[in-house]
Amino acid sequence: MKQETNQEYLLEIKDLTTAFLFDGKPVPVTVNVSYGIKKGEILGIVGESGSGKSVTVKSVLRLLPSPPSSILNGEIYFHGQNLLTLKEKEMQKIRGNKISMIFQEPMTSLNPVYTCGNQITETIMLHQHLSKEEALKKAARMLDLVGIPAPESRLKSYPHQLSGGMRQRVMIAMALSCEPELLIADEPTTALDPTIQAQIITLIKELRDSIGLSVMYITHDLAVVAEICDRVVVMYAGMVMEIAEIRDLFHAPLHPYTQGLMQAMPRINQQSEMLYNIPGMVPHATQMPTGCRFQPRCPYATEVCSQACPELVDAGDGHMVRCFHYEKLRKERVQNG
Amino acid sequence: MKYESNFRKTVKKFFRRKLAVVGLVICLVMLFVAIMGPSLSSYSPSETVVEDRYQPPSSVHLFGTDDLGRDMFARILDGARITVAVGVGSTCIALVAGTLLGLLAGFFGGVFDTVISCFMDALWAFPAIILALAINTVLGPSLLNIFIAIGVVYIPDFFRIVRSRTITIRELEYVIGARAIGQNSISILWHYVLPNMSSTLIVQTTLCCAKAVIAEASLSFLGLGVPLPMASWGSMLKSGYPLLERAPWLSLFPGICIMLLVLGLNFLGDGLRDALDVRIRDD
Repeated sequence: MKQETNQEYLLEIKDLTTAFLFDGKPVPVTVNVSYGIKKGEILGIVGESGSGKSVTVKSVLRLLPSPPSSILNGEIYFHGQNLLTLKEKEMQKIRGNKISMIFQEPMTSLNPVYTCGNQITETIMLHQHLSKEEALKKAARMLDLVGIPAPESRLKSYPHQLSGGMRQRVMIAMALSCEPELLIADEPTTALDPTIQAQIITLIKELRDSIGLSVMYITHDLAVVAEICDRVVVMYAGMVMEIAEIRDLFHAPLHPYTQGLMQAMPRINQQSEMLYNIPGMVPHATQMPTGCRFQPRCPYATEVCSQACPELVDAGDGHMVRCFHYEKLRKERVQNG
Repeated sequence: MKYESNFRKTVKKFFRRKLAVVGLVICLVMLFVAIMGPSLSSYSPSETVVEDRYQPPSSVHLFGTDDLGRDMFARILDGARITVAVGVGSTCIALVAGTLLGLLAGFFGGVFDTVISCFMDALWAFPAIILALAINTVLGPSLLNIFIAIGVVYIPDFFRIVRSRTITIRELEYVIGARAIGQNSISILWHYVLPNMSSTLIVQTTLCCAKAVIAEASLSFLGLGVPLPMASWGSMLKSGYPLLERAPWLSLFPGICIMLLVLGLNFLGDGLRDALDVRIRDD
């Protein structure tokens, strides 16, 4: 399938199946998830709540508590090293150092009893052999980098003295303080208001350009995806449905689910009418439909869809899609112009 | 350098609270008395003067004299040492053991949690005094054994609170975030989980101190308190009890002292909690 592209990826997830315990039995919540991220790339991961986006990236850093979670199958390669077989001690050297993560809720992501400076220097001193003074200087530089005014005095602030946007900046500063190669951003702007959201997005883009950071950007907001990402992975019910370059995805989505998402997005140049709405809900992990997982909600579904689960196939130019009918979607698009 | 200013802020915040300062003063006086002991009085706490029995409080005998003619003020000064030691000592045992076990059980869960929790529930099911009695009987009477007996009794109090707080904090995003920056479990427990329950712990500690003083008094009443030549406020209170009608001051003064100590500890605890909680505004 796509083994030959191995080398160009900084991080590659292969056939990752993560399960959670439901009533004492492990039930897979993500199934055979495979995707990779290139150096300096911003990869969007899109999907509804419960589609397994967060579970997949938390598996990368092995942040899921076990039990109740367990990784049934798969490999995650970072610089050719399988992260899933590393010892916890070795993993601790990677977390925050080579790969770091920022979270959705900036209000609760910082330890309330320590000052921002203390928390950033702690991260720095954990991974780099710097003295307290050097670490403090570096922390101030990091705060400056993420656009916090008067960084020296902000170092002495406690998290509760900062606004949400400021806290997210501190989180980003902390995440970047050890010059990681990969930043995993788990819906970093969902809890922020739109102006701050725009600032954070611009900041992440700038950092990619200036320090060559790779970013995995998880979101359910397609507008943000359009704004920031180079490539996009669309997930649904724990499976990768489509992987495409940003232009391809917006101009020619090949999966009915992606198409539904696009239609459900409000557009400024359209007369206000009822927004499109994909019928039904994401099925619960214990009650997955047979065949294709999107089939019960899919307007294109035919008999074959309920009998077998389609493979993720290359529809040309690395545009991957998991659908029996993608050719039909492509044709329709060509006909409609 | 950077953090000194925050420390100074905390100190200022503490001193802005009048009750906290009152608590601190009471506790410091008690500590001073406990250290200096009977050397603060011209009378000896063990000297019996038969003709001075049952003297009410006066300028000669500030707190009166007891049934053997001993000066009560000197005895109170002497008893402070034992009382404060028992309060602090047994609380330390309960605090350290309960917190450690609670943190580990709450954070790691699993079989360890189940076993320890069951054991703590069993310990809790005993009435405190019966348990202290049993431990004390087995270990024999000595000051150290009183510490241990009372300390062990209050371990479950700390364990339960710490365990439940740990379970709550463990799930918070900043703990997951701490993992994501590469912190190990011990560092997370020490820097993230423990400091975030400090307010609960401080209040529980001062309450426990107070309870330990009272528990020691109860043990003394049953004759299983500190061995005889030593006397604590609790044992004085109890030994004065049968003479309440004849010489009420024998129980009154030790009682007032216990009350003051407990009150001081509570004020101090509340003040510390507010001053140390960075989320409470300083003005």
